[in-house]
Order: sequence, then structure tokens, then C-alpha cells
Amino acid sequence: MLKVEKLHVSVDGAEILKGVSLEVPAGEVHALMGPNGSGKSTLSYALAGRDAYEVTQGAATLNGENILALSPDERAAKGLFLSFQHPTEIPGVATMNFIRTALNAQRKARGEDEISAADFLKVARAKAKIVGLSDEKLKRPFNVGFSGGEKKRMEMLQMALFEPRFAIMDETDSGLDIDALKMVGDVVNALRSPDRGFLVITHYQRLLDYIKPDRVHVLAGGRIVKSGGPELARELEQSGYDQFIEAA
Amino acid sequence: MSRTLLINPTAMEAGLLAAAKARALEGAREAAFEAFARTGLPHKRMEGWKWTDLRAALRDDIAAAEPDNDVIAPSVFGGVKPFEITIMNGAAEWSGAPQGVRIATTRDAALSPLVEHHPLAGLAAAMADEAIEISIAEGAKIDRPILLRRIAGPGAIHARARLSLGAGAAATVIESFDGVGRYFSNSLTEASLGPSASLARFILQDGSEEGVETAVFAATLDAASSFSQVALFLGAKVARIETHIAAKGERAKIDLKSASALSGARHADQTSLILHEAEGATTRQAHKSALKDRANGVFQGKFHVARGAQRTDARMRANALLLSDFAEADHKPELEIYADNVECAHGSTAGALDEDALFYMRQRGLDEDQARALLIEAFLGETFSEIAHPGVQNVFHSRLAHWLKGTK
Repeated sequence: MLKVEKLHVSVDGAEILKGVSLEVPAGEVHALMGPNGSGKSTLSYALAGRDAYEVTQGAATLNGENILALSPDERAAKGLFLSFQHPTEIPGVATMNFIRTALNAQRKARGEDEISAADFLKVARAKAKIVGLSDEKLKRPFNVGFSGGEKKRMEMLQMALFEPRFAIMDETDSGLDIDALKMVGDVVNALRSPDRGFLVITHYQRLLDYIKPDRVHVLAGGRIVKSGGPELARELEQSGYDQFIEAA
Repeated sequence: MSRTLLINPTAMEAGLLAAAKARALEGAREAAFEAFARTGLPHKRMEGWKWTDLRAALRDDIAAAEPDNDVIAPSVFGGVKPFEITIMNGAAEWSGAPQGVRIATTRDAALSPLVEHHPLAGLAAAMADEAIEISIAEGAKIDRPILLRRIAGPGAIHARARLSLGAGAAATVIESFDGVGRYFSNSLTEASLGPSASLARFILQDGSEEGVETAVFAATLDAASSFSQVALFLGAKVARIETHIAAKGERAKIDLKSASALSGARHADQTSLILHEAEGATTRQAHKSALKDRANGVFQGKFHVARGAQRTDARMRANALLLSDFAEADHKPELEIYADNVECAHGSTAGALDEDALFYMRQRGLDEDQARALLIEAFLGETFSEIAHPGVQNVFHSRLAHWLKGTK
């Protein structure tokens, strides 16, 4: 599914990722943990294709296809979804119109039929209920005036609607209360399937109580310094990241 | 003789002088021409014309336009079923008039004090054979929009209109400015609003790449009257749309919204002067521009608050979106305040599209052009969000969408 090999990424000339290798097979959920500044968000931006994140060495493939040569929208059409750590507000852009336009752009790129406004609205309303966003919120310009938690719910609504092949969730749990964490778990668990994969970036064990990861990786100093089973997350909760910071 | 005041006239100015001489101007017309001849075509060394050099844009002579009887395509505003007055190369045509509206022509050339020293107003008054006069009777509420459809063909055109609203009258006036080929189209529209009258004015300016469009609008507002204006400028070789308002009665309400959507080498200049001369006026002005390629968007807005105009509440903002390294936005917001109990503010920004929003939208599947278009539409579209007339609002949104499609 997602395969990252010896990836080096620089931002403004500073090397942040120094050879990250990671493989998430189809059907699995992997957690990526690590201290602040270790390069977790850099990895998610680089994989999604953000301009300033320059890949200087290495490779990344999704289902065997080199994604590094694709534009961000082409990667999205291939089924790569990024749940943003800090979702953007887009004043003046109507939420439902934006999401439907984006969904149809992806469908068109894949040679699928576009979804009608009426059909979309029906599905979107049903899924908005699941993630806990009111109709009133859906009528606002995109994310404008939303709290941090509401923005994360909007990310989950889009993930539920786009049904991506592979989702990178960048600290979706930050700023969420327990009920919202459970909602995130529900959305991920409903989407889990043999042909879908997830990379869940988090600082804390608690999200992993709701989303059981198959593997846990620790990113420190721009490299994966340790990988293990779900027990590794619990271990980190006890011992912290100090050992890795020193090692890196 | 006033005409000798112009030293070293350009070919265009010499042509205008010759045309004026041939007409043997007298009285008010001669006085109006003097207002023009004192400066000639406004140029960059003149106050208020630094960024719009009309003399340079009109160096070569453009002969007077011929009357044109071509069949013209229906107006984009056809869907709102307006009462249409077609002003083709300066000649007005209409038939009948809605109830409560009187339409006539006059040869009276006197200028309203608001623009009596304005060179372009003077030129229009001197050169237009007659002015069309639209009078809305006291208390009349005219639901059907009145469309002043100005179409310029090749040549030089001078047109003049007067609009008066009696006490308590209400009307909607749409002015469209279209042009084909190489022209200089200069128009003057003077308006007066009686006590508690209400005028909604809409402007759609869509000139040609070789055309020069100048339009001066000057209105006086009586007590408790209200004037709102929403405009979309698509530019021309040079387009300069001026709005002069004098709030002479207390508690006047003024609301001005404009958007410039410019590409290629187009130029549009929004210049306005709001004179607050009585107490308690409320003014809101917002201008937005999206500038591509080598386009040039100019905003000059001035609020003048006279000594006696206490409790004036006036706010102005201008925001430009620069979509190319070669596009240029020139903003000059000004406040000139002589009263001590007022609330006045102005703001001006220029910037590029939000990179975070662009990346976000592309991550969701929109390609770069789609994402940019959606953001530009969101930025400019706000200008039309409060138009009360849904048909008119549709025309503005669809004209903007059309512009977005045609540009990268």
C-alpha cells in the first residue's frame, strides 16, 4: 500500500527528514509517534505534495505507483487523504459546494460519474450527524468561525465522504474531548477494510484506545528510530521520548 | 478665448478643440468647455490622475463616432426585464416610460456645482448635443429597474444624463458600459435625491482592449435619502469610473461596493469623493480587485467631512489580490475631517492568494486552476452578496464566473 523508502525532505534548505523508511500494508493502521519537531507533519506534507517540502532523496509509492511525481490533486484522486493538523479557514467558500466540487473533481479524474447535488447533500447530512456537525455549520463558509474541535470534525466528515484508499491523520486528536476522540475512532473503524490503510500521527496513547494500530513507529530527529507492536505506544506513555531524542 | 489655454495639445486634444470650435459654443456650453480646456485631457502630473494618464492613453485623435443603426444583441440584464434606454454612441433611444417616470431630453448644458470644475464633466456638457432627463415623481416606487445601456462603437462619444428622484421616491438604475473597437466614451450623469428618496445604482463596465471609458457620476442627497451602488469593472485600455456624492441633508445613507476583475493589460480606476455636509450620515465603501497578468487596478476614495457634519459614521476599505508578479494595484484612501464628533476609518490591503487554502483545496482534489478560481470568486463575490434584486445579483455572479473561466 504505502511505501516510503529512505525519504529525505528539506524545507527552506534545512533537512528535516533524514532517510525515513516506512511501509503500511493494505488493511493496516500504523501509528506514528514522536516528540515535537521530529518531522511528523513534514512527512505528511511531503507525502501530500506541498510545495515548500522538497524531497531531495528517496521514494514514496502508493500501491506501487510513484506519488512524488504527482501534483497534490493527482495524489488526492489516487486516494491519498490528509487530515490536517491545522485545517484552514476558507472565507467566502460555501462548505457543501466546496466538498462536492472536490469530490467530483476526484471522481472525474478517476473516470467515475459525478455525484448530483441532491444525492451528495443526503449523504453529507447523514455523515455530518455521525461526526457531530450541525446543519447550521454546514451552511457556513468553510471552517469560518469553527472551534478547533469543529474543524477536526470537518476533517472527519470529509474523510468519511471521500472514502480514501489511504489516510494520513496528522494529530487529529489534538484539541478533542473524549466524546470526539471516540467519534474519530468510529469513523476510522467504519472505514477500515482490507484494501485501505491509515497512518495515524499522534503524541498520545489515548486515541489508540479507540483505533487499535497494527504497528507503532517512533520518529525522532528525522528518522524512524523504533518500530513495534501496539504495546510500544503504551510503553512510550510511561517512558516518554527522552531516550530517542538523545539517540537521535 | 478659452481654447487657447491649451498649450501643445495632443492630436486628440486638437481634434476636440476643432470640434468645439466648429460648434461655436455659447453660454453654459462654452463655460463647460472652459473647465475642460483649462487642463486638457487629465494626465499623470495632475492631482488625482497620477495612475490614470488619460492624455497618454488618448494621444492619437479619435474622430467623432458616427450614428450607428446596427442591430445590437440583447443586454445581459434582459432577464431582469428592465425598462431599457439604449444609448448608442451617445444617442438615447427608448419608448414610453414606466408609471411615475418622466423621460425627456434637454439642451440645457449647465453643470451641477459638484462637477463644474471637472474637465471631463465639462467636456461631456460642452460636446453632448443634449442630455437625457429621467425624473421619478415624488413618492413613486419604481419596481422595474431602469437600464441605461451605454454602447460605444469606434469613435469619440460624449453623453450626458440627469436623474432626479422626488421626495420619498425609490428607483433602481442599472448602467452598463460596453464598447467595441477603438473609442473614447465619456459620459456625465448628474442625480439629485429628494428627502427620503432611495436610489440603487448598479454598474457593469466591460470595455474593449482598445477602448477608453470615462464616466463621471455626481449626486446630491437630501435628508434621510439613501444611495447604494454596486459595480463590477472588467476594465478597458483605460476605464475611469468616478462617483461624487454630496450628502446635503441629515442622516443620508451611502453604500458603495465595487469589484475590479482585470486581466491582460486592462486598467480600471475607481475614484470617488463623498462630501459629508450635514449631520448623521452613514457611509460604507468597500472595493476589491483581482488583478492578473499586467492589469492595473486603481482605487482612490476620499471622505470629506465638513465642520458641521457631526456624527458622521464613515468607513472605507480597499483590498487587492495580486495574481501575477506584473499586476499593479494603486490605492489611495483619504479622510479629510473638519468635524470633531465623527467615526471614520479606512483600510487598504494588497496580497496574494492564501497558500494554505490553496494547498488545502488541492489536497481535497481541486486542480490548481479550480482552487484559484474558487478563492478569487469567494474574494470578489462578497461584493454582490447583499444585492436585494436576485436577477441583478445573478448577472453579476455569472459575469464574474465567465471572467474566471476565461483566465488562468
